[in-house]
Amino acid sequence: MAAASDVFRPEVGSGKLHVLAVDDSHVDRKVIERLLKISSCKVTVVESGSRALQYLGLDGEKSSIGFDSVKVNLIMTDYSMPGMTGYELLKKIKESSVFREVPVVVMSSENILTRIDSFVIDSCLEEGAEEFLLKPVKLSDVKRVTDFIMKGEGKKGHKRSRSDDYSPPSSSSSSISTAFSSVSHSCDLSLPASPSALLSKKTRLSI
Amino acid sequence: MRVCVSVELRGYINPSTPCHTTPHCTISFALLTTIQTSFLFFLSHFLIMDKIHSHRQVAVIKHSLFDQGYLDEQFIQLEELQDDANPNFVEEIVTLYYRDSSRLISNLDHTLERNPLDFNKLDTIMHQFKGSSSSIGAKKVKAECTLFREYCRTRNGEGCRRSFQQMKKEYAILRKKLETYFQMARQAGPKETAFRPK
Repeated sequence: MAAASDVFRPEVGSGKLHVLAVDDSHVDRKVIERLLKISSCKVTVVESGSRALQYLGLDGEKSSIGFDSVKVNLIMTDYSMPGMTGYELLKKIKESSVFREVPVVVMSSENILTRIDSFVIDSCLEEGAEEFLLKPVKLSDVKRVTDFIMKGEGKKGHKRSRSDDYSPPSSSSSSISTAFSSVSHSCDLSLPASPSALLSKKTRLSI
Repeated sequence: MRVCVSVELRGYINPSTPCHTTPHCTISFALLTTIQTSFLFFLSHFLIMDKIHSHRQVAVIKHSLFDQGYLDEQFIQLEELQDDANPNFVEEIVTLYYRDSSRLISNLDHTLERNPLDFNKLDTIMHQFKGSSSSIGAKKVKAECTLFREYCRTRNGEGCRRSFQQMKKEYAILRKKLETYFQMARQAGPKETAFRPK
């Protein structure tokens, strides 16, 4: 079985990150694939969390002792998917000894924020998601994430692993701020950001 | 618009003119050449202007799609993903969207016929549909989706039906407009500079 560090770092000499993208929308799959290809990544796109686990060999159906884990440098998953949500997929990945070091980015539409469901962002970050991206995802978002990972800085920053201190609900506002500071649309919002402020910012951004 | 023109210009030599009157022939020939050159000049100028006009028409259509609120910034984001190797990426995405979402729309139709209405199911389907619409920059369609979901939240069946009808209208209008836009863009051919609406 490949060591955790092997699947995390980009392969020497290959130069390209291998990204696994998970989204139930055909349109979004096509878009994210293009965004990643333009960002010089090798892309594998799957339509569900269960397919993703299958691909990673985490569906409990490893065929042989000599099973060679597929090498993935980044996983980008949609949050709201039928069947297994992005959050559940994130948890399964972080539970795996092989893939727990692989950065996971969760993508979702702004609905999550308008419904003031900061719990979603919070819980994803608590589970160790690298970043939370607003859909529709832009090229600048993807480039920023892939550049970040290429520099091997995935382990630093505001990623929290399960063994780290758990932030109690009272400090959830600060974790939202952390989340918002990494969300591309709200770079210059003063913290703490309120969902309605983010919404109006987004409205101003559109033509 | 493509114009194929074959031009034949024949010199006219008056057989009755004796050959020794060379200067006269030379002048006629020079005049002929001038006329021919001028014609070709104006023809090529016309073709270039036509191409510029076609591109301008495409830009005008695009500007109006944005000005009238049919499309938002996301559409531009998609256009920026096009290159020589993928020149029709946006058209492919839009085609995929209309094909994929027709399934969701008929699903919504069926679910709206039920009695009592299953608002949770309606909301779930509409969430998917809104996501795709957002991904192609379909601004008005997306706005109707938001309204629909609000009516689901407040359990307003009549509101849902109304906004669903309105959404279908916007969806159909946008389809027509985008079809025209892509057709004109294809006819105009590749352009050197990108037109970017304000």
